[in-house]
Amino acid sequence: MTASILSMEAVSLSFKDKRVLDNLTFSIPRGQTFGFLGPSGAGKTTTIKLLTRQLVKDAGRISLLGRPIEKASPADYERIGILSDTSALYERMSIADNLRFYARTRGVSHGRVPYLLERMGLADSGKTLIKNCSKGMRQRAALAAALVHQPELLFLDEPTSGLDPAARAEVHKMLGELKERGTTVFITTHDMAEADAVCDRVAILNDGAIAACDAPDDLKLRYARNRVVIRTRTRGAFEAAKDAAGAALVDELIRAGELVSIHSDEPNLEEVFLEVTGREF
Amino acid sequence: MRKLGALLDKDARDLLKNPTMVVAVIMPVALTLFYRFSFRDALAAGESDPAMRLLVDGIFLVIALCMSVGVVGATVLVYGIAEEKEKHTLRTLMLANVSAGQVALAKGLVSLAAILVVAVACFALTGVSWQFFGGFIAFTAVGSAPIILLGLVLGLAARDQMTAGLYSMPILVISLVPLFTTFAPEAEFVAGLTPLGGVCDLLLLMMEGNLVSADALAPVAVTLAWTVAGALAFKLLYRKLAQDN
Repeated sequence: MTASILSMEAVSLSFKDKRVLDNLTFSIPRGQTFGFLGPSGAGKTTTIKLLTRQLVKDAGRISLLGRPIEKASPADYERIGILSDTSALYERMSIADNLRFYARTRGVSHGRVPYLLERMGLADSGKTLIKNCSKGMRQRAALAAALVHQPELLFLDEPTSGLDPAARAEVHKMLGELKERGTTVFITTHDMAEADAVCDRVAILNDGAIAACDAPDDLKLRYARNRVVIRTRTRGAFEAAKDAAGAALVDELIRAGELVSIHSDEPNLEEVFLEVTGREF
Repeated sequence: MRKLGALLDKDARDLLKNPTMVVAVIMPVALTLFYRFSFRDALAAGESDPAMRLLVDGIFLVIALCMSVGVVGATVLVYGIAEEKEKHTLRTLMLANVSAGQVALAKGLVSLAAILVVAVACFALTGVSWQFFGGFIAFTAVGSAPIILLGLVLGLAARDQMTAGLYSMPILVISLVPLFTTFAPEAEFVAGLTPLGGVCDLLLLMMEGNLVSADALAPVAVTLAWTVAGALAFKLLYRKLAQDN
């Protein structure tokens, strides 16, 4: 079994009288991309802040890189990369200078800067000052800064928010490459399609509690409806149950030469979310 | 050390690109020039009267010291840290495993360097004999310590650059008090108790050749007291303010 690189056990947090995280339990094996899903205000960013020691839990246990988070050393944090919801680069410095600065603070060579600029689609914009960059360019530059030291564990808080579809696809491709290299990624998003595309496992957060946690395909299967959609030549499309009566109906349609197609009716991740939480995004 | 080196490099370069900082650096130099022009009659009289010359030189050096430390120290530090907070770069740095202490140390050292560079320029413009240069720079460096420590505390306490404008005012005003007593000797006692009052008195004693005397005890005590007070304020408030950030 792969060792867990990050875990939470019965973690709770309250702000004054309001409980914002309630009994969170999950663990992430090394090399996995773990999605933390939920609508705005569900507690995703708060969870990242707990995991990166920006906040302190009220109860429970958090393990980071194999040791209690309270005992994590500065050297441990050198193995982590973080793109937070407020990550910002220096406005009077160029994109490339910002990346070189972060490479220097991390004690790594500048050699990766051109590669990161290329991968983030910023190769032609390296000399552009951050203050002259669009929101999408800033986001990609901040992501590159979080990756400059090749972290083992990467926290990404809504990394594709504000990106156009092409840039979003580029980031997804980058996440795929990180996975191939064995980087563990903890990603928050409210984009279910994104989670489906890049995550090995997802946890669905609702009102501060985990409502479901599994691989996207397993969740879809678990919440799959017990029916198929049948398309016919003259009778249109209709649903049939996955039982003996449904099988008899299909058999009859085949014999009558009516059957055009049969489709399973699995929910997508967004529909699973609605099913699990009973709310909309 | 590598983090401190990167921060020092970044802060030093930013000092030259930030319009607020550039104005803060130019202002003491420009005001020193202005005062030299304003005192041109006294300077002319001093050509034949050594006592008058010493008095005018003393006033010039007090102006240069207070302007350099007060204006540059207050602005570079308080605005610099407040801007990092306002634009979330301080949080980003801390998430990149850079401590608030390293950020504060880098900004403090860059401020000290900026103060000394401005002080050298101001000294050159005063036309005062270079025999006083070493002492002037030494007292400027010593006087910078409490101002830098207080500036770091106020910078961390400021939420944004607008608040920084408000918070830097007390440092600026208190730093310039000794300068105004050159025109209002009755306020000399109060001026002597301000963070730069001690080093200004020591500077004047040095110019008179009385630095090693009983008269130097009170200014040394005042300077030490402000430095200790600044260090204590920083030590007590730094952790809380850094955590709040």
